[in-house]
Amino acid sequence: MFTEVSAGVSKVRFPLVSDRTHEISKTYGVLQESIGATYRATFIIDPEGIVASRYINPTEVGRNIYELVRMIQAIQYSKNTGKPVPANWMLSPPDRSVNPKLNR
Amino acid sequence: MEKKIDGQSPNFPQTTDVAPLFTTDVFDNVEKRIKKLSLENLRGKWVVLFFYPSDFTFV
Repeated sequence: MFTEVSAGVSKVRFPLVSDRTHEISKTYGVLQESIGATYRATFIIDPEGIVASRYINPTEVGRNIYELVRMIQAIQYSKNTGKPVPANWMLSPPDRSVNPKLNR
Repeated sequence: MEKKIDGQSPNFPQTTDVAPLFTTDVFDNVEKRIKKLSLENLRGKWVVLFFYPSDFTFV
C-alpha cells in the first residue's frame, strides 16, 4: 500500500481517497478521460461549503504549496477584515509553521 | 448547444459555486483503517480537495 512503502506519504494525516469510479473527479471536472487520470487539481472549500478558489495544474507541473497556504490565509484575512487583498500579499508576520526553513 | 470537451461536464464547479457533495471510503492513515467520509460533514471547516493523477509522483 502506498502509505506503507512511501516515506513521505507514511506521514500523511489527512484522509486519502481512491476515486476508482472517477465519480468525484468527473463531478469536479478534473478528469482527463484520455489517460483516465486527473489533473493536479486543488479546490479550496470554505466552511460554508462554497468553492473559494481552484487551481488546475497540468499533470507535468507540481503545485506551489506556499501559494495554496497564502490563498487560504488571504481569503480568511479578507473575510475577517472586509478588505481586498492586493497582488503578492503575504500574511505579516509570515506563518513560519508553513516553511520550517525560515526558522533557521 | 451543449459543449463537451474531453468528457467534462459543462457544469463543473467554478469559484463561488457550492462544492458538489460526495460520500466516499477514505483511508485514514492515522488510525490505519478505511472509513466513510462525507463532504457535508466537513461544514464548518476549511477543506482542501487535492487531486493527483498517480501515486509515486510529486504533488
